[in-house]
Amino acid sequence: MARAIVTAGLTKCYDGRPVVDDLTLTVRRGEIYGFLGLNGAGKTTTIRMLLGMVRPTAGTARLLDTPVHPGAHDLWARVGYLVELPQVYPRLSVREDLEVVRRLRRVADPRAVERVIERLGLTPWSDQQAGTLSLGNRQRLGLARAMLHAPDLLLLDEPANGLDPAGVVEVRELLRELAYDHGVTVFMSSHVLGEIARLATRIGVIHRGRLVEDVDTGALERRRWLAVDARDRDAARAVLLGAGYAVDPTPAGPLILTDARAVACPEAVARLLVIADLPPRHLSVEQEDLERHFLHLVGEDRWAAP
Amino acid sequence: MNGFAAALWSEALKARRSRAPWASALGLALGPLVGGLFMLILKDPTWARRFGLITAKAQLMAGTADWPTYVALLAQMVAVGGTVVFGLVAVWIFGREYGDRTVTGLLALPTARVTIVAAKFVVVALWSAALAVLVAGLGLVVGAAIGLPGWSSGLVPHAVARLALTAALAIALIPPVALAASAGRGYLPPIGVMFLAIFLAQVVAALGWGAYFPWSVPALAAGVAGAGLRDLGPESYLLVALTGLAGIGGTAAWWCLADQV
Repeated sequence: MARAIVTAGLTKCYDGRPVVDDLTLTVRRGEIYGFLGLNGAGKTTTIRMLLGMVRPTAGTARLLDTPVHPGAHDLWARVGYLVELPQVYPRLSVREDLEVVRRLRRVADPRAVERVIERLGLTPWSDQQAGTLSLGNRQRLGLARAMLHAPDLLLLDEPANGLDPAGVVEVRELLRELAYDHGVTVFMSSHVLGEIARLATRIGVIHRGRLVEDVDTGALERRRWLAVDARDRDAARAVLLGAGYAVDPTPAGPLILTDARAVACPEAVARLLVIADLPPRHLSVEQEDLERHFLHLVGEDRWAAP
Repeated sequence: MNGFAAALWSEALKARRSRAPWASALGLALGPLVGGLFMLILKDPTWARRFGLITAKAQLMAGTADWPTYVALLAQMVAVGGTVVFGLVAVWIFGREYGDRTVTGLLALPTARVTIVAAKFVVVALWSAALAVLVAGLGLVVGAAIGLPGWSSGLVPHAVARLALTAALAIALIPPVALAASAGRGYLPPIGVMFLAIFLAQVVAALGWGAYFPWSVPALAAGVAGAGLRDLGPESYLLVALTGLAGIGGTAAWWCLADQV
């Protein structure tokens, strides 16, 4: 499958300290890639490197099979982006702001501005000065700028920022339509896990500058385990280990059995514990959810629900 | 529409929609008006006696009330006031992109960054030239309105040449301010650089080396402190041109090569 983004060992250091460290990832064409990380994890620096705004200390990046370089103008004609909160020229109207973008992006068709205004629901504010827009409408304007030229690749930094719940759904459906119906690749960073979970087809987690996870959301959803608890947890663990189950050595909370046979047949586990006079007081098949997985990856799982 | 035309259109629109052109015009328009007031005071000492201190100040600033003196005064205002106001125009055009963080939207486009920088410099130069024309035009109106003596047909080319040369020298010194606005990522660093340059220009000129310090040259060309074009050699103009070119090159290099965080 064709690749939209390929990075190899991408690294950025400031004062010798790595902000992004040896980032190697591949995003396929048409994917919606969710790029997750805590504040300061390196998400925005990565996006700036992908856009040629920041030079990597080491490593390479290619977008749409073209090496990233500030002067790669043919590439930038095919890429739309939104980095951090969209900043606007306060005294330009929404229409004028987008007209500036249209001309700088060399889009020949002047109707492109009206089309994107309509698509992003900005029609009621099209003659309003951009500086007076609400945060949500400013975000819509930022997205309109990114989409005006019908790009093949969208790099979006926190695209749901400031949007009201209806706006979040609207933008989610728009991005889905772009990806599924028009083959646009979407690379979006966020720390809003619910949004990524609903939208992304693939997820990368960056923590302290390093990519600590790169997984299809389908594979994540298929991760299931059996959670078991008994009054004498140590004795139950010994019984289960003796029966050949793989029991995760969690220091507190229920025992976690990741074997496929435990997940497929939890009653066998229950029977085993009852026979050993250790009746389970909790037994449930659980499925990975993004929040728990993310918090586990970044070492903040003390906050995760058991 | 090619990239440069698109960038020029965009920069012109941003400028037109802002209050900055009006503010800069108002700031520089004060020059001919205050100069005209000085001329009026000097022209009519009886009327001027009512103004006491300002009469002494007017004599110190201008000398006599006639067209050649008024033209020299206007040139000095373009040299000193222009350096400040033209610099502030550059601070607004370049520094606001960083101060307001709008620069991000200009960095990954089919239009090259160097094209955008070139368009910005063209707008700054045209804007500054328009301000210089405003000073000259308003000066003409004010001078005629107060009936200044000493008008001659030979005065016009002399006045135009003097004002144009002074304005061109002041405009040529804008690019280092644009570089400071870009590298300093905002408004305050270039304003600091600009006022430091103006302060040093005064000191260096007072020491007698003004012909070799670019920011002293416009004021010397305008005849500040009794200096004149005879005090300036080709090396002075060359220094100003090289300073401007270095500023343009440095600004373009900063936009194209520096990390834009």
